[in-house]
Amino acid sequence: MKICKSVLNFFIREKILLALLVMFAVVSAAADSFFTVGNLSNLLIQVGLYGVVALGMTFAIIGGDFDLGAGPMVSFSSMAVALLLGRVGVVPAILITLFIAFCLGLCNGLLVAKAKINSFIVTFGSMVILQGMALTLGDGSPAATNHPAFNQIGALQIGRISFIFIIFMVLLLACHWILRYTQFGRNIYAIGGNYEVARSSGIHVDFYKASLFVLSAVFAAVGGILMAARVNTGHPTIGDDMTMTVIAGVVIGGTSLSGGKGNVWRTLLGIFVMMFLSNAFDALVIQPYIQRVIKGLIIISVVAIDSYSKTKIDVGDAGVLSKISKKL
Amino acid sequence: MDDIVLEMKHISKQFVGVKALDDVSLSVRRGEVHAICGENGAGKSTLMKILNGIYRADSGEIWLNGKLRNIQSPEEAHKAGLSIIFQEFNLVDTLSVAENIYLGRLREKGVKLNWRAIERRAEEQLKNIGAEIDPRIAVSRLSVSQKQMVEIAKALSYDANVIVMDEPSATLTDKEAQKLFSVISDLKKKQITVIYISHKMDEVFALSDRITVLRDGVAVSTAATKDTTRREVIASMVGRAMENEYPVRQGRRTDETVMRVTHIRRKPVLHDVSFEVKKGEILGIAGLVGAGRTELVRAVFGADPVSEGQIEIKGVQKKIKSPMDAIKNGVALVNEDRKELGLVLKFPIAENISICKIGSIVRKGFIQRKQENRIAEEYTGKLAIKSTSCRQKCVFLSGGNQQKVVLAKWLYADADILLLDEPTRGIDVGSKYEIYKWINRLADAGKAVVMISSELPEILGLSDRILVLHRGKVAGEFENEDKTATAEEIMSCAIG
Repeated sequence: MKICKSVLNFFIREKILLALLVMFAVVSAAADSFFTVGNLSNLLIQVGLYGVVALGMTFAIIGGDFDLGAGPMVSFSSMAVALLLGRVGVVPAILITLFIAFCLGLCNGLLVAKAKINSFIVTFGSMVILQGMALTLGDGSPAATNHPAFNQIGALQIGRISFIFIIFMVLLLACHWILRYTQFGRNIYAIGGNYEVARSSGIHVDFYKASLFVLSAVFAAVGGILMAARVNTGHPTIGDDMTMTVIAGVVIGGTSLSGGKGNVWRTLLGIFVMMFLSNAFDALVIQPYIQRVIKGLIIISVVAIDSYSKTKIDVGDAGVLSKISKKL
Repeated sequence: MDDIVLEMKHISKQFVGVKALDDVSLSVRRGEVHAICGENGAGKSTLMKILNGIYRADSGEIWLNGKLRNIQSPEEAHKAGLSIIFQEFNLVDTLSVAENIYLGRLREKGVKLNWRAIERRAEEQLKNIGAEIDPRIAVSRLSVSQKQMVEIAKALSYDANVIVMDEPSATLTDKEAQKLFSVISDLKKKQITVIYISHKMDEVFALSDRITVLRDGVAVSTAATKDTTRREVIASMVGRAMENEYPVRQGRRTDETVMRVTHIRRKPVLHDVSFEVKKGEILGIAGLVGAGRTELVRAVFGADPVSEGQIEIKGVQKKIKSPMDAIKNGVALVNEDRKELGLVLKFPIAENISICKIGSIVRKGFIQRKQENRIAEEYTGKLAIKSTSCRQKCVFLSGGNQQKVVLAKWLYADADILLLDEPTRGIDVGSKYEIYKWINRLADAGKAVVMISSELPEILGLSDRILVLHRGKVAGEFENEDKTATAEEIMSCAIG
């Protein structure tokens, strides 16, 4: 009974996870093509690609900001790495791409932290700039990555698990460690939780604010490089739709948009939900246009249930699940 | 006389595991000023939130204006004739006074709003309580006291005959408070009932007809004000007799100057302020709201930029351009607004305590969480912070305990110079006494303490020396090592 109760309590707190498991079971039963090794390993690749970008976004959101330029940064860096490959080789191409992302992120960060320009405007501006730069690089057309070693990054599998997903998980563990156990991580929570308190506690707030945008840009660039390796092409608009999906994923997981709260495991959960929905609809052979409508509705209702039950708990009213748990 | 306007019967309310109210009954007569006293966490706010429909009681009945009510929202409370003015005002700063008063009720008929009528009605409401405020200006341009008048006018515009005021004088100057008191006595003449929640005994005794004391969620006593004494009320609030309101210091100040501030200017609030503070000294800073007290300590702390001035710490000139510089030089600031400026409320106690000196618990890149908890436990023990564990989030602590966490944070940061801005604002009597003891103890340990307070008795009871500010200038300085300064001389100096 005791285990029952703690399991139940866990799911009361983690309603999104519960919702995901239920939907997962339903779709597995309903569609033959869903619960197959091929499809699931495909799902993990998607989670890995979006997840990497979401890790950077998680830092930004915990720190009380967000980066609208993350998606276009994926497009830009996929183009950059593809074009550099042939000229300088794999490792330099990747390093140069990451370095460019670092510099661009630093520009954003300094504009927000030092020049005190609203981050929405700064990242919106850089979003447009990055889109333009990505298109300019290849004159509007994609660039093939004709380099077997590089393409191997996207194709490699260990067991049936893609190398991309493994890279994502390694980065996730590193981010978890940084956020939970380092001074750097703690101070990011502090500036997101209360900027003024952080400042008056002697935290170098400008540095941390700027780092949020650097991290977001660099992680997005990693996403872009992996994307290019996966599809063997640098594509000037491939990541443009990713920004909103990634922000939504982070927030669905439960990281608060107001900052100071959340963690990367929640991001993993949120991105998983987002990727699962797209994948499941394809498996269920639902017409793509209506997919978007249903997807939107599911996202809103899942979060609505979660925040509704949270306000209930704050007021001291118990939900159905907690009533069951009390009886156990 | 026994015309009961509001009766709460056997109200109980439990939050996850904690009994906030236990069988509380309260009856309020028509046209009386009924004071409710109690320490923070005694259940005053919970009781009021139940009245207002924000919380639902687990059991009990509310009778208001002769009917049994089931109040589920503030709107329903308004309809039943009850309005609450919370400590944090519910006003939209960017809208005008008139818009705020009739917010949600701007439209009478048709689609187009009749601004002239709305403004005229707002003006009338304000005139009724003797407030001269232009209903067309934005609320952001009003003083705290004027905002409060707007809140009262708003409450009355709902035709409320019961008005609850939660700590209404906490942020007012003495003069503004007098104005508030005269408005309250006017309301009383109009047979409007006022429920007055306050920590300040002076006010409670000057204003109220009856006093109810809550302690640990139980209504311990209700008495007619003229039949009880200040001492009795305080004793039933804390559950024990209080000897003195201010503890006596053991040690004495030294002659060694720790910080010297010279000719500090910050237009338009500070005009050439100089002062020094000695090791082991408690320097009280008095003055009216707007005299530049908060601005002065913020400037010294590097939180606001200054146009001129030098700061010398232990004889060495220092450049303090940011709080980071100040902390490096051993200066700490305990803000008056602890929710906005003192604590990260989303953080657990332990993480708030270690925030300034987190570097000291990092080993090989790792934050030593066990060590962090040990430190937190040490300080929660020392300062008697009431909590379930040191990983409890600060948002769930009472005001007094939150303030103790702020103090713990600066104790751990080991600052030599403590700037305390209204360290006991909104804190209950029992916790206040503990904070006073700590201020004395810090001074005894050789720290220099600069304390701002709007409560003169506090300044007189604790400080070794008193600096009075008036319009951004030093208006006077009083020796007070043997507590010889008087309230009259300080006040007349502060008024200018």
